[in-house]
Amino acid sequence: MIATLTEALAEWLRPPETLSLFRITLLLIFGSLVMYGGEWLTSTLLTRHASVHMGIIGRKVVVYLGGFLLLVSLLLELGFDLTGVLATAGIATVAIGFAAQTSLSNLISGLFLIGERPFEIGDLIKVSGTTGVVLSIDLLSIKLRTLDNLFIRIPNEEMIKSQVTNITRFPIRRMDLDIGVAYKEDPEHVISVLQSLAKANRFVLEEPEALVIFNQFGQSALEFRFCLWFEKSNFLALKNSIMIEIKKRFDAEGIEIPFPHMTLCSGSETGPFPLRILNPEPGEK
Amino acid sequence: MRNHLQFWTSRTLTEERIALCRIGPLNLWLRRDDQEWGVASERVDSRDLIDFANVPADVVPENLEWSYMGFRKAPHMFQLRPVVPDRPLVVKPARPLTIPRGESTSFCMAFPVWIEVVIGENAVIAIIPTELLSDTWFGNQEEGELAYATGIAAERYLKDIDLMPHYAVCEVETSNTAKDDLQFEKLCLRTQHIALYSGTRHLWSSPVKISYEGKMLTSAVSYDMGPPKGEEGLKLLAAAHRPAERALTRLTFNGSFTHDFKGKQR
Repeated sequence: MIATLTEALAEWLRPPETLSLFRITLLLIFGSLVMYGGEWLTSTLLTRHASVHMGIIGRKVVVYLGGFLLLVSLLLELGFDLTGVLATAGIATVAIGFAAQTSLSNLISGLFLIGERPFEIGDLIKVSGTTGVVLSIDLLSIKLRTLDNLFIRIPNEEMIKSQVTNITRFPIRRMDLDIGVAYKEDPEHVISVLQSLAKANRFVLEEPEALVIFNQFGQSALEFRFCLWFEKSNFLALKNSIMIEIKKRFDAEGIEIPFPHMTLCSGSETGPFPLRILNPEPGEK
Repeated sequence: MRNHLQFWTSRTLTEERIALCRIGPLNLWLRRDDQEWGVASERVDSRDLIDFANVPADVVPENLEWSYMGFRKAPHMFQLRPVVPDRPLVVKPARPLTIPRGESTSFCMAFPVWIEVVIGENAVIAIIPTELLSDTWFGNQEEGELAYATGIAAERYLKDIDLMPHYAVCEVETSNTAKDDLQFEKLCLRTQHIALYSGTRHLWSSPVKISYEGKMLTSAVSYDMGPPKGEEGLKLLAAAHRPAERALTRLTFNGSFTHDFKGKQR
């Protein structure tokens, strides 16, 4: 039975057109299998041993290269003469080069970004005033999702030229709060209160220790910088809780947070200018 | 409760009653009906209580947040088990402690345990900390790991620790085999290697041994598998999640920070 089938197949493939069609079909099927298999293998290996974005880049390189080789093989099998195409490619390359300067610049910038690895997929970064989570790092651009869920595409050339801040690169961060208190307050007492608040808040890391710095004598207030270390995922929890705790504790201790204000004097020997309201409302003096 | 061990025994809960289990600052409320178990918790100011009572439903505070687990037929037995916290613990000595070269010394530390609520054969419906511990970081600004600060300083003698019923006491033996004196700074305790035992008044953990061998390089921290010597007749309540081999060195070579024991030479 097998011999009969083989003979029938050989008879069917005898005409050159049929044979050619059969070879093209085989080329398509096996070529696609090899290409997608190679893509999966490359992506898996690079993701496991390098990083997610290297896996994505590797996958795209295999697909583009494999697709190009498959296309050339199909064209050759179909009988196209590619010599002429190659001859004109040289001239076309110059024209394309001029037209694709920006894309080439983005591509080369992308390769530098891949090599430097200033951030990875999933990192929260700030670039040119935009803050977002890195969704993908592609050959021509990176894609971000902002915290209010907008999609941003930034060309790699711009990334290379700009200052990029990777907010989540390190596992812990410091939150710096600028707090002003009235001039009448005792600075040592304020520092003691803030230090006790840092100790009591469970999101503030015990180490590295929190810092309270008496920064300067401001225009309207004594200005302190309250520096708190936290694990990077606890930003919101710490920000809200510590601000509320500061307010409550300052109210309980009678520590005034002053409004910006100014006192006018005509000279060092005089007191502040008095203020008198003309045509006061009933009840006002 | 006369004996600490009684708190950890199995009990029955009928459908009409609520179980109130108090240990340290944690009040644990349990209720059951035919097809579900409910658990709620609150923290109070008192810290030295350990008892259990079945109470009527009308004494339950109204502001409790209950969580429920469904069963085809809810088991009527339950048990509370102590478990170690889910992160490493960082401990510092109460006062600067220097260990001369060639010498060894021991000290005690304590940490609050977590409570595992087990229903029936082995269904865990809740794991609740008896105390909420503060976060701390064991490492430097670039790398390290998140841990808990116990807030309880390590002391040379157990009598100097203000023991509470929800604390587990850990005996730490330190030997300085280096050429110089050693000032002990802090210790990172790996809770996954620690077993818990019940004594008459509080819990105990398996002991820890530290061997300081020299400048910056290696500090061998090993976790014993047997019970501590601080009390006779201890009962094993919770085995270590991952028993460490005897005299296993916990080394990492990722930088100058990740040694579980930090001391400096004098």
